[in-house]
Amino acid sequence: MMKNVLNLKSQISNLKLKFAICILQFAILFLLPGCVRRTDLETVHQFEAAQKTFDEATTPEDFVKAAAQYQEIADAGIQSGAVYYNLGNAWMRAKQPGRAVAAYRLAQRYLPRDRALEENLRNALRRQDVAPRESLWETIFFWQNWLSYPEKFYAAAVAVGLTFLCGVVVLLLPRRRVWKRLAWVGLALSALLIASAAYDWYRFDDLTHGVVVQAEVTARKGNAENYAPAFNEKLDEGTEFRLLDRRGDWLLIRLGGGQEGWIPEKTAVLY
Amino acid sequence: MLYRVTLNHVEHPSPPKLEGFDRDFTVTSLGEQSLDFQNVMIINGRRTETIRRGRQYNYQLTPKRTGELTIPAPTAEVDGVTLRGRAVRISVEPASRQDVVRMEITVAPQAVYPLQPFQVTLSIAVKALPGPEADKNPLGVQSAPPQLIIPWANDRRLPEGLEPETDLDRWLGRLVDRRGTGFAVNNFRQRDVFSFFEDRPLTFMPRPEKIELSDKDGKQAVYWRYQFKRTFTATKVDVYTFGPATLKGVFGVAGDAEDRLVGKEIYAVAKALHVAIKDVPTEGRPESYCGAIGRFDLSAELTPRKAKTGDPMTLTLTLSGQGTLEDAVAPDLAKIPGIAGKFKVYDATEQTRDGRRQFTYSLRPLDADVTEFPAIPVAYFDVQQDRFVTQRTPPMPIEISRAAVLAGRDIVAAPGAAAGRSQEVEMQKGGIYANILDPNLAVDQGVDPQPWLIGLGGVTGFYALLAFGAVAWRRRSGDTVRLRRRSAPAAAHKRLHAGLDALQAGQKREGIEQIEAAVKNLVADWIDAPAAGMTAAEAARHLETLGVNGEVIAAARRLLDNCESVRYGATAADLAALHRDARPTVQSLLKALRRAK
Repeated sequence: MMKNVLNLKSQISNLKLKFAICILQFAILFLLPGCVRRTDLETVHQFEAAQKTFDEATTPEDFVKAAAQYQEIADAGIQSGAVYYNLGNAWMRAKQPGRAVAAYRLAQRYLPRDRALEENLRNALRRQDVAPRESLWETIFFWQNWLSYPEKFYAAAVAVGLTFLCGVVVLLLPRRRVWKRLAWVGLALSALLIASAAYDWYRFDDLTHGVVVQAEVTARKGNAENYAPAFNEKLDEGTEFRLLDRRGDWLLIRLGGGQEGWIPEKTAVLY
Repeated sequence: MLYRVTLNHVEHPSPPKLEGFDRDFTVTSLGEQSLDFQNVMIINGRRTETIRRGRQYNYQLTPKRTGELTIPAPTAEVDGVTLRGRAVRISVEPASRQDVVRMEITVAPQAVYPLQPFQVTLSIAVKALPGPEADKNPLGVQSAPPQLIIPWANDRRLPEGLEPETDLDRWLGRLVDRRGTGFAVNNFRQRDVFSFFEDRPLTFMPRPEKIELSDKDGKQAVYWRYQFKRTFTATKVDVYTFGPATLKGVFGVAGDAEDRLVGKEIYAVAKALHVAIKDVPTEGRPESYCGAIGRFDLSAELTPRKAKTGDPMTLTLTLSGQGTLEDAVAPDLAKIPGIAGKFKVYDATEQTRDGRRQFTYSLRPLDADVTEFPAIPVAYFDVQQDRFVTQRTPPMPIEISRAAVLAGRDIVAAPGAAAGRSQEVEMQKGGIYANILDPNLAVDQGVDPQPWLIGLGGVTGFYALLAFGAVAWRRRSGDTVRLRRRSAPAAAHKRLHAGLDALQAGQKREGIEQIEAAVKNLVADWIDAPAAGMTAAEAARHLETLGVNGEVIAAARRLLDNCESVRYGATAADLAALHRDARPTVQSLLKALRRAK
């Protein structure tokens, strides 16, 4: 009888292995939605046309036209680091560094480790330190500005998938303590990466950012020209801010240092 | 003259056009004011609403000549319609030849460089009072102060590029006479310029000095001279006009029979004067002259100091100090020996902030043998020394190593490669603002969190289901009765085959025992009872308890009895019957047991 029981356990182990593989496949299918994306032909044509306009441009007005073409691609829903990067270049050549800063910041979400982008952003901002504004979360999640927006989701998905696999192994082989430890480590890592991705979603999709696109914009204490200036100095083109509120044609903004003021909407771009 | 254009019953008008005015008049805008008014009255329940819309524009007109002059009709555009006012004829009388007040504008020096200070002086000489009043200040006897118009005493209307040394408040503020004597300048009222409490014209009294001048008869006469001196600097090459300045007021000219002063209204004009701001000399101008005028310090910053050939580097040149920087242009680095051919230099960006002019260059080293970034000469014109001054940045040590792959002279790691999509190094056209050329990278990288959340929820839910199933499985796996029953059919088949094989091989005893054990163990395993010592009767009783069909029980019992009988003396026919009946009996028993459970 003992022998029979052993045989039975061996069969069960084989079954468990096959079962675990099936479950992993299922988890991967669940967790990697839309990992593989292709450029559609229409976008390729638009991209090439914009590049042609860029290449042939000689005056700032010509570069504005190129920027408009890249913007059209972005407006069609193509959120691409390459498109935003080229858009930023077009604005820089059009001598509109404020709009270029906005485009480069958008590009940075998808190309965070790109050195050329960093250089161009540094030129647009005219300062050495171009690291994205760092909050407490970004200090804790030290990889926050190193991984791109989608990469964080992929990393979280992989961590969740591996944790799931470890968890399944723990279910099937409850006496293997190594798997249990791996599952706990994976669970902690998954939680961190999910929080990191969620923070990106919050700061990129939930918050609205902006850049001043005119020289010497006066921020005021209220949403009208007759209010007193909010700061001693005027805002330069390229000044970055976070949008807090909007009333009519006026925006309530918060600068990196925490100062708040109202500026006319036409003096800034939002993203 | 105060000239006022009023636009009534219009909203948001554009300022009127004063075409043709400059032929006979100097026009100075004095500002504008809204005439918008709204009033609602309710009397005995009857509501009356009065709305007025309009705007008023004020100007000061100064005739350029005497005679019959026509002030042309002003025009204004309102909602695409051109409105035209009326022309006004006026008579401008020539100023009578008088020697009571003499005015003059002087500038020293008359030609200067940008940023070189020059002083504009308005001198007003007023003839001393006659008779016993001769020692009295001639400006201390008027009931109303004389009106003095000084065009450059209004900082908001100074021409572009002209900077006063001190602002208006500090310049004129120290000349304010609180007793109300002196000149009323530009009709400044206390609430307009200075925050005093009274609302009357401010008067200004420069410290007077007595001088002697020839009067209209050529005789020497004593005059009191008042001087308004103001220092300016110009920030760009241009010609600036100061004046004319005008004075209108009553001055004491004679005494009556009782030695009382007799006043006379005097209108005096000081002719305008021009100041030429010269460009810096072309002679001796160094090639590195950047267009800055003043006195500056030069600094440079290069980052990073360690790079590979083709890597981007940023050079920032900063000019800081006193002077004109707006027109300063970035030095052409490509002309500097030590940079030409060894660095690819892209167009610099220029920025002026807080009195500093910054030029930011993007560079790419082309030569790995370069160990030092050379000194950069930048020259400016120092107006105080009246010569060009050349400053040089210190040479900066750098480390350039050879890049792994070089393609042409501009090699840029493609952003796509940096992001991990490709390890290729690809050349991009144009340098630092080079675009990403691969259209395949124009792929939507946007993130929609919803499917990810659904995926996460799905995995979590699925794992919960698995965990639930595993717990149930484990619980069932711990049921030894169930385990034994589940393993019973396989064991019975195995024993049956072994028994039949043994019989086939002539091993009668072994075969009989295996067949007997196949049946008894099957029954025992099914009910979790010990198989050892189980008789055929007991097996049949257990089967009955399980509700197995009677025929199957009979067949099983018959098989067990046959096994018992052939063990002690079997013929070949008995063994053949046992061999024949064993398999169908065990199979029918299994079927019956499964059905019975």
